[in-house]
Amino acid sequence: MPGTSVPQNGDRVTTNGRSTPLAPGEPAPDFTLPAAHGDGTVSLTDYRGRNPVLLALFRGLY
Amino acid sequence: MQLGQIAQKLEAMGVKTLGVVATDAARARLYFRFRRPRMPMGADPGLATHRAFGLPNFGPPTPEAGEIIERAAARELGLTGPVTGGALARFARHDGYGITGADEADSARHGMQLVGQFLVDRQGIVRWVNVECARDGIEGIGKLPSEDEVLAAARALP
Repeated sequence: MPGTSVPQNGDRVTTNGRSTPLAPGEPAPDFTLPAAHGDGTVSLTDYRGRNPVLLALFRGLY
Repeated sequence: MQLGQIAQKLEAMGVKTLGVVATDAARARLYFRFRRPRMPMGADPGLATHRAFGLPNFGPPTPEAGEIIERAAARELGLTGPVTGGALARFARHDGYGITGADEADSARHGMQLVGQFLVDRQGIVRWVNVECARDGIEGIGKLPSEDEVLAAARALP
């Protein structure tokens, strides 16, 4: 699938959309997003080679 | 939301927790200024991350789904008895946060976006997945995996 790049407050997230959830054994797509808890950004790649990560995707504040 | 407590236990196992909330960074930072999250959080109002991880989106909510969401909100709030009217959960939010027009717009734009959790190992490989509603159908809205399940998945990491 083609990648998408979404500009966001000067930061970018590059992702590939897919129609089924990622399954165990598949590589997790990297992303970088504006931090929601403070300044800066958060990135999944920051943990690569260092720590396992539980990634939790939430809805909005509604 | 009990995920913060699970995050603390994962931290003791060397497993980090990263959240992504589907609202813009400015709104999220204002919200989290008063309700500090127990994990780093990214802001993704366009749901690009949700799409990248393949979380389903079923478009505009159905009346049935709306009722289930209301019941899930009531359960989270510890309310008993009949729950009617979409305003109930919004006015009774235990975090005291007032829904704004921006949040309403997010809700309308996002539709029935399901959420999920992914355990990713040090090499960036997904090792465990929980997708909302995958087990219980529509009744699974708002349900999180148990702490035992998440911790067991973390212990099984290579």
